[in-house]
Amino acid sequence: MVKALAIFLPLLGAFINAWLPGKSPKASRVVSYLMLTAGLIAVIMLSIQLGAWNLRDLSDSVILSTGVGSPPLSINLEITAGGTLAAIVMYAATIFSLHRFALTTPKSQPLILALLTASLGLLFATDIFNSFVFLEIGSIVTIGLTAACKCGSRWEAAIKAALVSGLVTILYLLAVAVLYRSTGMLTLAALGNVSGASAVIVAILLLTVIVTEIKAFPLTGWGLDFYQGTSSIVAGLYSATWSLAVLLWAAKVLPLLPIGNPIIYAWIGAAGLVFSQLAGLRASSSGRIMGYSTSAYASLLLVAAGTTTGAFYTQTVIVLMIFSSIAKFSLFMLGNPEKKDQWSGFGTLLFLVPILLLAGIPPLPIFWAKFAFLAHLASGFPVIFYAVLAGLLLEAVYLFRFWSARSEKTGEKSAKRPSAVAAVLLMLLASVWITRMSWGALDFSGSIIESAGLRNIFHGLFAIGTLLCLPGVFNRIGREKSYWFWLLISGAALTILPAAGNGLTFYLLWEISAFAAVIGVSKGTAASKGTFWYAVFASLSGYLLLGGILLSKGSFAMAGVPAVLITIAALVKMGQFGTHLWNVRTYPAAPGTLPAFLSGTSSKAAVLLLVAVAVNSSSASLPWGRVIAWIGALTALGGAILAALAPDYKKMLAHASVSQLGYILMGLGLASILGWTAAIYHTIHHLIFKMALFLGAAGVLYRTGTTEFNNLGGLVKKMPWTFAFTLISVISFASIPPLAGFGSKWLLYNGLIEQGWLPVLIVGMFASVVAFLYSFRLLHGVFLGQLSPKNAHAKEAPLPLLIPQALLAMAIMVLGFKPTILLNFLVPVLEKIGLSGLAPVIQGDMVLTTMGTWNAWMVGLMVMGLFGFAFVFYWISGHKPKYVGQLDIGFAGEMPPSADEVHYSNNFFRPYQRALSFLPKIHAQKIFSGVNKTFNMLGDGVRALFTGDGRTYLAHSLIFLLLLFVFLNGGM
Amino acid sequence: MGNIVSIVLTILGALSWGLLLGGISRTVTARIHGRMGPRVTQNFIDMWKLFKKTSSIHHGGMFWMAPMFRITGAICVLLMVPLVIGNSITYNMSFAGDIFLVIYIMFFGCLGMALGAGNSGHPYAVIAVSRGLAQMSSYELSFSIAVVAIAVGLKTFRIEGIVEAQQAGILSWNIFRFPFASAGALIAFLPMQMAYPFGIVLAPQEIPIGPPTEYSSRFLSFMFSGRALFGTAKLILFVSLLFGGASNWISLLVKTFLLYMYPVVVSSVFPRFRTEQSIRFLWFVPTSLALVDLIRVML
Repeated sequence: MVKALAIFLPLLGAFINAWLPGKSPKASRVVSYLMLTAGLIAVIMLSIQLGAWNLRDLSDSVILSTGVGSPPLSINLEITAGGTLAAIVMYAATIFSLHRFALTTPKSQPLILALLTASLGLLFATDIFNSFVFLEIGSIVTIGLTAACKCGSRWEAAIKAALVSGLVTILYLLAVAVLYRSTGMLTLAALGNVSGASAVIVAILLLTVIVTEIKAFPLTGWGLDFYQGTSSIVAGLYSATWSLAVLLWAAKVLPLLPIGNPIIYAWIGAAGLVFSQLAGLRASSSGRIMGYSTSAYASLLLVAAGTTTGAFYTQTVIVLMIFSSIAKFSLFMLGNPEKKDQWSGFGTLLFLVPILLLAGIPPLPIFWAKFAFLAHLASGFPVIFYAVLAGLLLEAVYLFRFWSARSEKTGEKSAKRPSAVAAVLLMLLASVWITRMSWGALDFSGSIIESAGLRNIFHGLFAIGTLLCLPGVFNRIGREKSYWFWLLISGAALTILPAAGNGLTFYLLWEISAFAAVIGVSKGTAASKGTFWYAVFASLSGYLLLGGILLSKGSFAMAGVPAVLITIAALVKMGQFGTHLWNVRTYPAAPGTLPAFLSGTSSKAAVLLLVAVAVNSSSASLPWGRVIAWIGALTALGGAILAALAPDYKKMLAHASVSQLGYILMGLGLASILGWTAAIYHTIHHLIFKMALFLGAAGVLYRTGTTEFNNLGGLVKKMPWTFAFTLISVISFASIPPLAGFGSKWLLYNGLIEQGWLPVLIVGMFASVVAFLYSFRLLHGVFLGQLSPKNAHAKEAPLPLLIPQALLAMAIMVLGFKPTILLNFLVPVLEKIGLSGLAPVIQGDMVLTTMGTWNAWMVGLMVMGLFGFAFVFYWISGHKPKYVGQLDIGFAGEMPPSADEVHYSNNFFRPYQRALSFLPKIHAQKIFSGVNKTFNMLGDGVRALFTGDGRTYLAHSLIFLLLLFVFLNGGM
Repeated sequence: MGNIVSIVLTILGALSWGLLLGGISRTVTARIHGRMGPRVTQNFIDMWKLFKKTSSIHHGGMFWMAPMFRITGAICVLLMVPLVIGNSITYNMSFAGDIFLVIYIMFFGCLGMALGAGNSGHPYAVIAVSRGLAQMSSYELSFSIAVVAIAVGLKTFRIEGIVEAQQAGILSWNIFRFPFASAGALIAFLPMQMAYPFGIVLAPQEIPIGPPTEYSSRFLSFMFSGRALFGTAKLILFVSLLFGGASNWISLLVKTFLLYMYPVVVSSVFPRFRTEQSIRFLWFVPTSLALVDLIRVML
């Protein structure tokens, strides 16, 4: 009884609605809601009965027979556990979208209920002819709904759907006829009994029908036009009911087709994924973007059908299809984003969660399915694995572009639509529930990095780095939103990261941290470009990391391709060698203290990753250590030159950050104790000074509203403390003794010379002197010189920004004067992990290597003693100069007319730039636009297939059919 | 205690020697130009005069502190280099660090000077700093390569060790053992001493006297003494690196005197480069020379 109610209540509702006089919309709505609610309860009961909630075995089922005799005269439905979950989504989507339809197309209620009935029927159909009936009903209702909606290109969309539906009908009926003639049966199971020529004909006909219906590449065209043409409400309901039903029906039929080796599905899917997502890069309207995303999931379905079987296949398909449908539903329900309606706060979150879900970001449910599925592909189908990985990366790129362009806009209440709210809540809840699937357990034993000492260093760095960014988060300017929440999440994930015990846990925390920070960046003013670049590069490094982890079966003991992939992932995260573009765009755009976190703390996750790869390798070294050291050295130099020429405070710091991370790579590439000591020392040091500098920049921005050097200068009088802390950091990163920076350079140079890597050393030393250029530019550009009248009102930065800076400056002093505190801890830890080379010897305050000596304490005493003596001597000598302002200078006997006219700032190092002019101008920007252009060209090439002409789409299906025929016939 | 006495004496001696050398150079330059020139003690007189001037101005904290930075940086370099080899009391603080420390601590004074110039608010001072830093980053390249070639060749970074390795006769001096590296370092020495054709920082025709444009009276006397000290320190460093160090005081004075005369003479016969010409020259010519020895050492 419950079974029948669950399926046929909507049908009943549709009939009642159709008979109700059109003048009582209220009554018809009440009937609809009643039927739908009762049906939903019935489906939930069924799913409980079938044990769908434990997610372990989704193939339990009950049979529902109706009518007399046997199919096709009667309708036989097999209600599976997995199917009930989909049915719940369909019911819920219909209920939630009903009121929107009531507002726009009041007479559409019978159609909506009929669509749900058709969807449920198709979902559970066991008979090939029954399926045909439901397919027909669904297609016709879709066409009707589209034609009834009030949107511009509805006829175009409806006619294309009708054309395709017509073709599908012909092909399908042909297949049915052949099947019946060959086997005398029409059940789905009978598909397995056909043989010989009939089998080929049935297989190619049905495969063409399926690929067309699920809109997988290359038969995607009509789907794109349909999503673009129909109204967003119809598209939303369509994707959560009919589209989902077709996908799951296809998932049921595909394994049964008499096609020989099902791997052909995977090849069609993998190739389709890459090509369709290339084309997706060029999509701009929300409808088409959703269309391409649909195509991506349809292709994934084909790949799954070709490579997996049994319970794993069912689970993967159910989770991927159900949640992608929910995501699309909620995005469509938010309205057409290209309209200029604007959202804020909660609205942007509603928009964001589905995007993250579609992109497979943890901990949202699709992540788990994708992770397990990709792991499966990696273990047996490497080429398909790479193709799928590439396709998913491309999908992430256009999804994030869609989101970042969107996140800029503000205000509007209509975003808080109950349907979208419900969908997002469901996605978030499902994130917890999905872990019930046995897709790999999280492990926080820290076994990736055996050395507890190393782990603790990173735990401490991440925790302290996050904490120091927190006090300043409330000193926001303009419309910077509450990014603190995302900062906190990102920091928390980072803090746990060193405790990860397997690849899954590491990847999960890595992605959470990266994408929480991406969301944080999006809260900045005018941050859409920065957000997009960060999201793209975070996706790139994420997928590379994922690829590496999965190819080495989740373990970090890796060599060869996985190790290289992971190393590149770390390099991208650190913005090395050309990938610095994301740092330079993201840090200036990020709000408040977030750049300090990103540059100072978050970038160290990449160091941790490299450390993890190295300590798990046989010789405790990275693959191609020398290449890595070279990349570090060249980035250090290039970054330093770019920083010196940067016109903006935060941009300069971003370039400088990339440059300084290069030194860490030089040390790690060495794979000797000295190299690693230098690398870890510099990791700590970089965190300290870069956070102090960015916090200082946050204070300057907060008080002056600008970070352009041409608008700054002379702030030392207004912000003496910020200046003092910045000065200490600058002296430190310029490696001038007695502060902390010298130690990292000294250790590194000793390490490089010990291994005989002199060319790397020379480039590194050159980079370190070029750093003087930008260090002075920074101090002068912001704090020294003339105070612009524009900043006359500026005050000292607020305490929540100053206190962390003070602590960091103190840390620089302590580390500079007594580096042995750190070295005494670090060197024994590193000695245990099997690195080559000799450890530095520490005798009291003296550090000795085979060739060099360094006594930081004595140097510190000498410098401070001499400075103090000079100071006191001057003081007591009784010289009392009179303070005069900056404008009172020897200026050809004149008083300069205004500060702005004598402040030397614009194009500060112009002779240096002229001297550099012999170099060919290799702009990373140009390289990336080249990459972008190439991808766009490829995308345009693919897009040329989708002409927008319905006849072309019919031709596509027929050509596809012919190709299949040639291919399969040749194969047999 | 002996150490402290030695340090005090070193500072005073180096200051006097630096001022005296400056006086001599003024005379030499004048004679080359066919003038009489001032007396050799003129720099002491100037220094005293500036020190005694009471009326003066300042432009802020960093302006005030820059001369202290300058002097501190200069003395630190001076104390990190052993003066007379074999006479351990004259090693001062050289035990506390090696040649890398010396290279980097040389920047301490430069940075202080730059900060003072920046705080003065005078555009000429800042232009000079911008030029100076650009040029410094260029000559440091060849100087670093030369130092690395020598240090790796001799297998020690300790200056004391480098000097000791040159004690087996004149041919064991690094200028003969590493002729290309030495040539590179000696070309880099010219801009270090702000000598022509690299004198773009103090370029008097364009930017009166560069960074200290706004400085006067006692501040300026500090600046000048810092410069004298720093000059002497660099002389001793180069003598130790390339010319076998000094085994006694006479040798120290003679070697530093001769080395000091080298930029003075070169300076008085050359015109000045434009900034970018200077930078490019320093990137290519001395660097290529020094690289020859580096490659030799690597092989």
